[in-house]
Amino acid sequence: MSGTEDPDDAEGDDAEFSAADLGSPRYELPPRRADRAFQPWHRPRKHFVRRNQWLACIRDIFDARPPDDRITYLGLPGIDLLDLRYLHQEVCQPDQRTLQFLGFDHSVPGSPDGIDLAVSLHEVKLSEFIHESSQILPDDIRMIGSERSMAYQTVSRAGPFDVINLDLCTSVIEDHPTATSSLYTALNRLVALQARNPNPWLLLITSVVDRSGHNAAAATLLQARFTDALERCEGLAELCAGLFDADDVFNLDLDVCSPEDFLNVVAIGLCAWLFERAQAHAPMRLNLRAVFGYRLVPTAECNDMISLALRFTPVIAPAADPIGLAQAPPAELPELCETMSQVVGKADARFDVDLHLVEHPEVRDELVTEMADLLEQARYRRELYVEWVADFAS
Amino acid sequence: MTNSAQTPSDEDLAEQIIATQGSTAPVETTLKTDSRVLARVTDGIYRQPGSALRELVSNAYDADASRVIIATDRPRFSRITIEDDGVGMSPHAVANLLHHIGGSAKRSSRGAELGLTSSDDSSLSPAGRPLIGKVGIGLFSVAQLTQNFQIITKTTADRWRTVASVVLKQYADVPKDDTDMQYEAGLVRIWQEPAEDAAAHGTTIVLDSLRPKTRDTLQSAGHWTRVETRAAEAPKYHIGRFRPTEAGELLLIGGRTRAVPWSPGDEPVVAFGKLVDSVWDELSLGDRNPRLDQLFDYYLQMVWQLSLSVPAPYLELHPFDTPLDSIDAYELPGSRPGPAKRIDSPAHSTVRESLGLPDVGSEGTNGFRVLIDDLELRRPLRFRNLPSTTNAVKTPMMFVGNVRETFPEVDPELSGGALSFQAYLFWAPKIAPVDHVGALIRIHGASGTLFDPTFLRYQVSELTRLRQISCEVFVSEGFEAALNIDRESFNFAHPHVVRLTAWLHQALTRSITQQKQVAAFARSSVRTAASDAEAEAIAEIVRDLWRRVAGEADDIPDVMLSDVADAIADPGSYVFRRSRVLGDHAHSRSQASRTVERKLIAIVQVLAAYELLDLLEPGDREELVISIGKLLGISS
Repeated sequence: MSGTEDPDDAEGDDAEFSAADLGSPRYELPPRRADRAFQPWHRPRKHFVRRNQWLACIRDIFDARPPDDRITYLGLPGIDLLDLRYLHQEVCQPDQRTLQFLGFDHSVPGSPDGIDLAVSLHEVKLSEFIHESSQILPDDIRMIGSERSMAYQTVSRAGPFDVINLDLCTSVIEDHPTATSSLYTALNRLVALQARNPNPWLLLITSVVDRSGHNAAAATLLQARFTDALERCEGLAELCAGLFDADDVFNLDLDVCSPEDFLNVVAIGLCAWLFERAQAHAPMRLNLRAVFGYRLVPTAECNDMISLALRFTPVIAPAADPIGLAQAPPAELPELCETMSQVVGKADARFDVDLHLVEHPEVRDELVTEMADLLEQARYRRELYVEWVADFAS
Repeated sequence: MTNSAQTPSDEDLAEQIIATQGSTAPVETTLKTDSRVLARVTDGIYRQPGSALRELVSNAYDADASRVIIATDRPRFSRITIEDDGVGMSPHAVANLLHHIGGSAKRSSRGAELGLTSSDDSSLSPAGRPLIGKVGIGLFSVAQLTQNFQIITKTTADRWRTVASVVLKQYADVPKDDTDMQYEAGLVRIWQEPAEDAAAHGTTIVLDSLRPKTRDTLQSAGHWTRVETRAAEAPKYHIGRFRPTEAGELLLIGGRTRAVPWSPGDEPVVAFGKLVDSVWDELSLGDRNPRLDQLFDYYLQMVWQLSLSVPAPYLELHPFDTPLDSIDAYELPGSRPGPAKRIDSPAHSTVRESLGLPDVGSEGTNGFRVLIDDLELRRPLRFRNLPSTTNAVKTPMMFVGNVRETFPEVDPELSGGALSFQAYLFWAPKIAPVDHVGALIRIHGASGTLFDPTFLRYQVSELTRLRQISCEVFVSEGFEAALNIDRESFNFAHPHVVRLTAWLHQALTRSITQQKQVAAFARSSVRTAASDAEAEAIAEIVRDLWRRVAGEADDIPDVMLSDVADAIADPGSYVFRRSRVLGDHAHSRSQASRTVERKLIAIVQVLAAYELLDLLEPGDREELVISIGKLLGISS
C-alpha cells in the first residue's frame, strides 16, 4: 500500500483478474437529449409553494438567528437546483447568509440529466454565499435509513440541518413498511439526527396523496396513529368533524372513503407519527405551519398533491427528578393533544393553490415572471417557457 | 486510425463550439493524437490516481484559482469532481486543449492568445503566478483514471458556458514505426449553454465511471482483502470499506465504518491538522518510525502526498519563518568552501530575517487553497515543539542554503540557463513520518517527486543521521527542463540536477559534521548512572553493539513494559504489555526477575540496532518478544 508502489501491485497477488478490470468496452458518446422539456414542477403553482410556504418558513426561523449562522439544507433539489437558486437569491444574497446544502439525486453520471445537474452545480457553486462543501450525492435518499450506507454516513457528518426538504414526485407512503429501504426508515433516522439540533428546524414534505400510488399497509399504520390521537385527545374528533366527509372518523375505510378523507388521514396521521418519532429521540414541539395543495390530475375530486411545512422546536429543559434529589421546575414538554389540535386546524385551513391562482391571475403572472427568471438561470429559454406556461392557469 | 486532415483545426472547432449557442445541436468530433502522445498513454506514465489529481490541481493553480475542491464519494469512488474558480477556458482554449491532449499551449505564445498565460510572459499565469502545470498533461493524466469525463468551464464576462463530454479510446499498444500517423484518441461532444451569471468563472471536471483498477486502488481493495485473510492488519486510520451491494453499505471495522483522526464538525484545516497530529502521536504510542503506509489506507496516503505536492501553505510556519528560539540554525555556504556557520541572531528573529531570504519558499501558495473532501491541505511538516527523545541533542537543527548559479563559463544552451534555489536540511532525532526523510524538490512551490530518501543518490554511509534529516529545496529559477514528462522524476544528467546534487551532497556532509560536533559536546556532559554492575554490564553490551552498527549509541530506544492501556511513552520508545512479555515476572521484585527484565529489554535494543523490529507489525513484534522471553525462562 506504499504510496510509491505500483497500484496494480498494491492489489496483491490475491486480487482476481476480471475482464471488467480492463475498463469499459463501450466506446461511444452517451445518448443525447434533443431539448430540455418543461416539467410539471415548472408550473407557477409549484413556485407559489416555494415562495409562499418554503421561503416564508425559512425566513421565519432565520429571522431570529445570528447573521453568521449558515443555513444547512438537506433536500431533493432536482437537476435544475431551482429551490437552491431561489433560496440563495431571496435569502442568502440579501442577508449575506451562507447556504450549505446536501442534496440527493441519482441521475446517471454522464447521462443528459447527469450533465445538466453537473452544469447546474457549476453555476450554483460559483455563487457567493454558497458553502464550498455543498454537494449532491448520487444516491436514493431512502438509503439514509441504513446506518452503514454512504448516504447516512454523509448525512450524519453534515447534519443536523435547519431545513429538510423532501420534495417528492410520488407518494410519501409508496413504500411498504417492511421494505429494506423506505422513506419512513429514512425519516426516522433523520429525526434522530435532528435531535442534535439546538435550533428550530423545518421539515418540508411535498407528496402525492391519492389512493393510486400508496402502500396500503403504510396508510393503515398512519391511520392507526390518527385514530390513537383521536382516542387519547378529548375534543379532537369534534375538531375533525368539519374536516372530514365521513361522520365516523374513528372507523374510516381507506379503500372507500372520499379522496378528501384519505388525504386528511394521511396528512394528520403523518404529523402524529412524526411527533411521536421526535419525542422518542428528544423533546421537540411540532408546529404545522401550513398545508398547501393542488391537483395533479385536473379531474381529481380534491387536491392530490400536498405540501406540509412542519416546524420543530427543541425543548431543552431538565426533566423532573422522580426521587426528588434534584430540584427542577416542571418542564413544559410537548403535548400530543395540543399538537394534534394545531395540526388539525392547519389541515382544515389547507390552501388550494390552483384555486387561488385562478382567482388571482395577477399573482399567477407574477409567479410566471419569477419562474421565468429562475429557469433562465437554469439555462431554459424564457420565451419558450412563457409559451409553454400559457396553457396553465396555475 | 485516420488522417489528421479530417480533423477540424483549433480555430474551426472553436467556431463550431460558438455556433452551438442557442442551438440544440452540439459539435461532435473525434480527438486525434500522434503516436508519441499515445505511447505515453499506453505506457501509463502516471501509476497513481493521486498523480492525475495533482496535475489537475496544478492546472487550477495556473488558472489563477483561489481554490480547488476535489470531491469524492469516498470510499465508494464512483465519481470524482474537481472544481476551481480560476479564469476558465474560452471555446478557443477548449478546442486547443482537446486537440492537444498530452501537449500544452502554456509556455508558448499560444498560451497568451488563449488566455491561459500572462500576455507579457508565457511562463506566468494571467495574474502572474509562475506556471507549475501543463494543461494538456493534466487532462491527459485523467485517462489513467477514467475513459469518461466532462469539462464545464466559463470565463468571466462570457454569457456562455462551454460543456464537453469526452470518451477516451483505449489502446493496448502503439505501432512504433509510424510516428507521423494520427490516431483516434477519443470522442467528444461540445456545446455552449447560456450563462446568466456573467461574472462567474471557473472550471469543473467530472470524472465518472472510474476504471475498476483505479477504484480498487482508491478503495485500498487489495489491502482489505489481505486484512480479511489475516495476511495484514487494518490500517489504524482509514475512510472505510465499501461493499458494492445494492444497498451500497460500508463494512464495520472494529465496530466503526471509518477511523479518521478528525471529528465530523471540524473545519477542513483543523481536520487536516489532526491528521498530521495523528502521525506525530504515534511516536508517543510506541511506534518509533511511523510510516504512512502502515498508518493510513491508500486514500489518506494519497491526500498526504497531495499535500506535499501542491502549492499550499505550511500547517504552521514556513521553515524559514521558524523563530530561532526553537531551533539551532546554520547557514550553509553556496559555492565557497567552509563549514556551516551558526546563525547567532536574537531568539525571536527568524531564519528568513537573519539571512535576508526572499519569500521564495512560500510563493507557491498565493492564497491558493486545496480542499479534498473533509480536509484542506497544508504542507504536513513541523519544525517546532517536536516531542523530546532520549537523544543527547535536544534542539532540532536547521541548515539553510541560498544558491544562484549562472554557469558563467558554459553556453546557456548547454547549461539550461540560470538556476536559483533555497534549501534547508532539518535535523531532528525523529522525523515523522519516516516518509519525510530525504530531499524534496519544489519548483515554484509544486513538487511531483516527494521526498527522495537517497538524497539524490548520496553515497556516504551515514545511515543513522540520514534517517534524521528532512530536506526541501525551493527552486525559483530553472530546473523545469530537467523534469521528465511524468513530472515525478528528473533527468540526472541535466546540468541543473548535477549542480543541485553537488550542492546537496556537500550540504549533507557539512550538516552531518556539524551535528556530530554538537552531539559529541552534548554527550560529554551527560553521565549515565548505572544502578549496579550487572545492569551496567548489560547496558554496555547494547551500547557497544550500537556503536558498531549505527556508529554511535545516541539513539538506543527506550523500552517500556506497561499494562496501562495507551501508556504514553517517550517518543521513539518500544512499548509492550508488561504482563504478556514478562509473564510471572511481571509483578515480582526479586533480583532474578529484574535480571530477566533487563536482559529482555537489552535484547529488544539489540534487535533495534539492526532495525529488525521495525519490519514487523506491532502484534508480531510483541509475539517475538514473548517468544524470546520464554527462551529466557519466562513462563506465562
